Amino acid sequence: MTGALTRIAAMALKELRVVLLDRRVLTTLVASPIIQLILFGFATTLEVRNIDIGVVNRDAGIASERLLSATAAVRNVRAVTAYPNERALAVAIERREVIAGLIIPADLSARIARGEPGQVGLLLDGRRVNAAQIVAGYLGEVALQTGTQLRPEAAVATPQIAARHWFNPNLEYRWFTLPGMITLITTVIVLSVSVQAIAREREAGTWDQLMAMPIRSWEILAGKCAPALSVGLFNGALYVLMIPLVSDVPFNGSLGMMLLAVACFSLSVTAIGLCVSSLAQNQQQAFLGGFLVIVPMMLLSGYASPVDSMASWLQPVALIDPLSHMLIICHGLFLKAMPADLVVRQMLPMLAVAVMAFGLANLLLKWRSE
Amino acid sequence: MIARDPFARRRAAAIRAKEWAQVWLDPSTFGLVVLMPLILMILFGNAVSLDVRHSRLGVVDRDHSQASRELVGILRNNESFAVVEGPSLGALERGLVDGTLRGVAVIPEGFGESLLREQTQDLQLITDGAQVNTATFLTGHLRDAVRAWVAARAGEGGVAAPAVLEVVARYTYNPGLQSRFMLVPGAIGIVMAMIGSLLTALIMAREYERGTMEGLLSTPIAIPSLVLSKLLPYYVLGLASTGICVAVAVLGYGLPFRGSLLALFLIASAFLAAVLGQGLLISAGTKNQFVSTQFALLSGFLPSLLLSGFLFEIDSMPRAIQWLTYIVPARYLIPPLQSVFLVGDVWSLFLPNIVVLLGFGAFFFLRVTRAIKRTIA
Amino acid sequence: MAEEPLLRLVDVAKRFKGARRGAPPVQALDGISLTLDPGRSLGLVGPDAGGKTTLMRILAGLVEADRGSVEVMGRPVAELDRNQVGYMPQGGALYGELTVRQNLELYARLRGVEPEDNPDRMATLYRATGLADFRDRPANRLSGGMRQKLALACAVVAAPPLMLLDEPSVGVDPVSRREIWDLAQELAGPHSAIVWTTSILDDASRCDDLILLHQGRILYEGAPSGLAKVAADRTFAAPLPSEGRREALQDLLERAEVVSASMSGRSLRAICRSASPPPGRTWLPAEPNAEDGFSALLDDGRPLPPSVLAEAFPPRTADRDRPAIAALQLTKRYGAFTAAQDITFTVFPGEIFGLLGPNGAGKSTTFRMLCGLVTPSGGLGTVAGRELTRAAVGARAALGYMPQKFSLYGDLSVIANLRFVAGTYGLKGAGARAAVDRVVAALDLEPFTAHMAGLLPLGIKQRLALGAAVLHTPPVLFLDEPTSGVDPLVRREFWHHINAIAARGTAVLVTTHFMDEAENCDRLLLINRSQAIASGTPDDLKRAVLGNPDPTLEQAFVTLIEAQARSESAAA
Repeated sequence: MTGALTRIAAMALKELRVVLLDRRVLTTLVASPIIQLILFGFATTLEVRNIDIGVVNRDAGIASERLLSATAAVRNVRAVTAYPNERALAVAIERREVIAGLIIPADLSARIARGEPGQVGLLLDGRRVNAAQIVAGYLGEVALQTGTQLRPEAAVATPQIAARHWFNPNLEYRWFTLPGMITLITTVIVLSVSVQAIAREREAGTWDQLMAMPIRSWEILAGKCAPALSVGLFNGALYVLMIPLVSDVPFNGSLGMMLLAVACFSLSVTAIGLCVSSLAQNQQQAFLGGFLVIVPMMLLSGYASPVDSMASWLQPVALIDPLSHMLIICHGLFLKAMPADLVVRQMLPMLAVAVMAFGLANLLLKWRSE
Repeated sequence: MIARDPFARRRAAAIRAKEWAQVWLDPSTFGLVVLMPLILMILFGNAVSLDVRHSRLGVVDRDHSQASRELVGILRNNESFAVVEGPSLGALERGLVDGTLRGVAVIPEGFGESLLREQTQDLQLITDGAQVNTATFLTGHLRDAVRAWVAARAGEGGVAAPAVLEVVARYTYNPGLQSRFMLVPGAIGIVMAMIGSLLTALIMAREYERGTMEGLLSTPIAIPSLVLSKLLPYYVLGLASTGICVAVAVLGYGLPFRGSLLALFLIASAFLAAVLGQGLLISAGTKNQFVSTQFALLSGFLPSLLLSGFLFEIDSMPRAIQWLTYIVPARYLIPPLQSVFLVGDVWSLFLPNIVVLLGFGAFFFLRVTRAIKRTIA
Repeated sequence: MAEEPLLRLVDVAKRFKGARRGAPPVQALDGISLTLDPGRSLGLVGPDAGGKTTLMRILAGLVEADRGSVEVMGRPVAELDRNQVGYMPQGGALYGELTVRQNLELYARLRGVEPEDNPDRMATLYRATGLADFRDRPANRLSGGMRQKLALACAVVAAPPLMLLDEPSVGVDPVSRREIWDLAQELAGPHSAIVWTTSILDDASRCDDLILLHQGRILYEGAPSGLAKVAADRTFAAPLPSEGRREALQDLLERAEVVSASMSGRSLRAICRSASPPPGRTWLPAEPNAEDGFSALLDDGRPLPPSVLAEAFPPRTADRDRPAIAALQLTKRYGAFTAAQDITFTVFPGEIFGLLGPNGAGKSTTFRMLCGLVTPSGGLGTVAGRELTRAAVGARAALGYMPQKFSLYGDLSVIANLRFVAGTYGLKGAGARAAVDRVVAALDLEPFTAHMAGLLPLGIKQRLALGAAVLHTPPVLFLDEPTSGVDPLVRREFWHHINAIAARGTAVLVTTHFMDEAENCDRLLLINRSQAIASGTPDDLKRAVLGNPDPTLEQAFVTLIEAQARSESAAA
């Protein structure tokens, strides 16, 4: 067994040297994730701000005046621009100058004064589904409030929703994205390192020499986990320390648990990468194969859209995705002070994936070495 | 000098033939060109949906009145929610921590009675604030559901009285509000960005790593000609991949295609010019497959995914990052691409974007021809 | 036209940055001046890292000189018309996955020869290279000799006035080596000049002129015969004893008065530091050749020390009569193609067993089956009593393997490579350090320890690979063309080590294309066209040559192979 350890250590050391010796590699592996975290972490918001709205107003009365001033007062509305007619408004939407346009009919104030229900048209840019829906929500609320102001007596007593947002009282989007980015960036880095582990040897012709040495295939694989694992751990640890520094996102959980989770996660992603690498004959195949894996893993993680909204047949697939579990842990430990037992419950599937992928990589490696 | 060389075209053709032969021999290229679009289209069609539906909502009914039971029933039948009832807030709390619940609604005691007296009591909603988007939608959906329910109860025979003032929303181009309509163009962008920057990031570095660059450089081929000839097959592959995406989108998902194929071809070509140039520049600069794929991922794929405005609105980003998106080629692809599907040929939108993309292409191409030196080592 | 030289170099110098920051720069070339007239051939020889490749790259316009002027066809090299130059880089710049035809046509078109418009030229190329039947075979599945011929054809497809060939004959068997030389002559235009680098003096001697580069400077310039004259009066021959030939050679090599020694035919040759022969034996003056001159010129005056590498091997005296390596009817088929058929031989501890044969004959396949890298289709191969394809990993520890192609990590330093290999063989701590230090010292790798292995000159790479194979002092050593691309002085050292290691009781299986090296072997097996065609001691093999009282092994080699070809064509 000590022989195996010596061999794994030699392999690990060599791998670390190969990957970390190149200064350019080191730069990409260390500096760029930091830049990305900041860049993408702040950029990826589903919140809709700086909204530009157009209006075609044919009503000179109080209703339109109230409605427009209330619209302009909405926090995320940047500008309200008047257009002479629907045609001009449609062109503005087409050219993406505004995302939505209100069309106020000439008799609006008069109808409301008569006690009749008033309707305002809202034309939205259907290309931007998400943003448009949110804008529609804002403006619907504005119309409702304005209506109540105009005719308070018509209001029906409606229970209000007293919403409290736990873990993120002000619903800051950053609080979601920054911890979540750890998962994405670590995946990209770890997988792209591990995926080339075997393929690189095959392409460089060093595989032959290795096969003639007294080292088992699983020992090779174990040693080859080293660079990906250390890069993953380093980045993970760096992020956990950095995020509270560069932003107001709190870290409420246990640092130890977080590092443990990052280790488990990196291990599972590394093992998946080794599977791809065992199959690939050269580096190009490895990288492209890795890519075929990365993209689904990212999209199924629940970062871009929640797992609950996915097609029902895809939800079990998402459960195998280590990213979906790591995402829960990241949010849990940063924001929710997630207790250890819950963290472990998310870690177990990751470990299971790691073990299975490692076994598969070993099988593939033996099969491919024939 | 180049123009006068009678063999220049044949040399270029020879390089192209070689690249094609290498593409044919490596299954991974076809994996990327054929499989990747299919995987992405399936995932964007089924996994990524920005419509928040079936959010798991815990409900605690402390009232147990006829009205509260009716409300719970209403919520159960609303497809925005997947209702889980619990005896108390404490019992459901853990669900919020481990992500099995997105929110918990509490119907207070005396809720039903208060409704009869028209002095309404508030409903409590606790959301998982970590899932910002879901929390926002959940709050809105619950508010709408309750409002509709109350209005229906108040109105004649269960029909709600019309509101004093309401907006009637109409979504141009996408009346059914399908987020696929928005995601498919994004998927095309990703596929092209990947073929462009990732595949080409490999091809030049590979020549250096294998030592074949020394052979090529010792022949009379001119460097711009070498670069262009290496690019051309990947340009064709990029277009093929785009074709697959479009076919799946239109035939499989019923996405309208209101523009012209010519417009699509021009937009895709301009974008490919930019990303292929970007990939080659990375490749020629690093001369190492591993480093260049890292660069391609970080400067090509991730910005195309995150900073192009296809998933996340550019207008909502911090100002500094908005400026940065101007150097992300995908930023100029997504708006024309979305329009060519959903709107039609909006040349006033297409042309400026195409010009910018071609500008990127020309810039990268010039840099690549400079980065490849006739001398080695 | 003839009075205008094709190449004119005046005082050319080039230095490279050190391998690490702070490391001193490397002066690759210093004060090189030369001219080459049309129609002439120039052989560039010199020890590893002597500057040959750098000079070739300067001539091809791929490296800029720091100083001096380089003119090709009367114009500065910066304005080089690449149509006029056919450059074959070391290793050939072939696309391995592409077929012979695809490679050849690519380079033909790049060099301005449209295959369809020049069917005669293409036919000549296929005929001359003997690749006509292999047009559709991927280049990486060609044998070493064929690959070199293809690379040569790709470089000179347009019959350019200037042909620059960097190591075209490395790793090639003696027959193919001659063919490659003839091929270069045949493919050249009527006034083409050839610059040819090689570590094999025999090849270089075929050139009109010869330049010996050492540490970036020209040490000798002139006719090949002139180089041989350096060793005149200092070369001696004595009859080879029938027993203890290797011991006699070892003894000679370690003598202070001897520069170099070798076996050839039935005699022992020695180049001495003075005009008097070494003591003992009946020495007669001998005719020196270019290789002798090379050795004499580069002599550093130090006698060869006893092999430190071998001293680390424990003396293995037990079980001398149990075969350490046994091949029993080993067969490998790839589809319809049989790469090796019914190969049978045994190697005992302390024996050096040589596998000879042309490129592609099946030597490497046999080798790889024994190492456990290729599963035999039939037959049995054992190493140290175990079958390596099935045996546990531990059994591989008994084996030291030096592959034909450099297979260590190009992006790691020399020292890191050695440390890694030590670790995989289970050496750790002080034991690993001692083993690494020993190899570095014994193989003169000290100046290169921090260098990236991939950027080393071929000869240094080979030294590193040999070092890696013997780090763990295995009882069985497999060396696949250990000396290809290595200069004559280092070859001498390699064999000094190999002989000494075998003397400690290690079984050595070796392939080689150098017949003087084959003389070192106790027994030989000649493989051709996948079959063993002759076996026995070097003298046994030489008996196949009729009508020559003192044939060389090379003559035996050629005779036996031709005999098989005749009998096969007779059968067909």
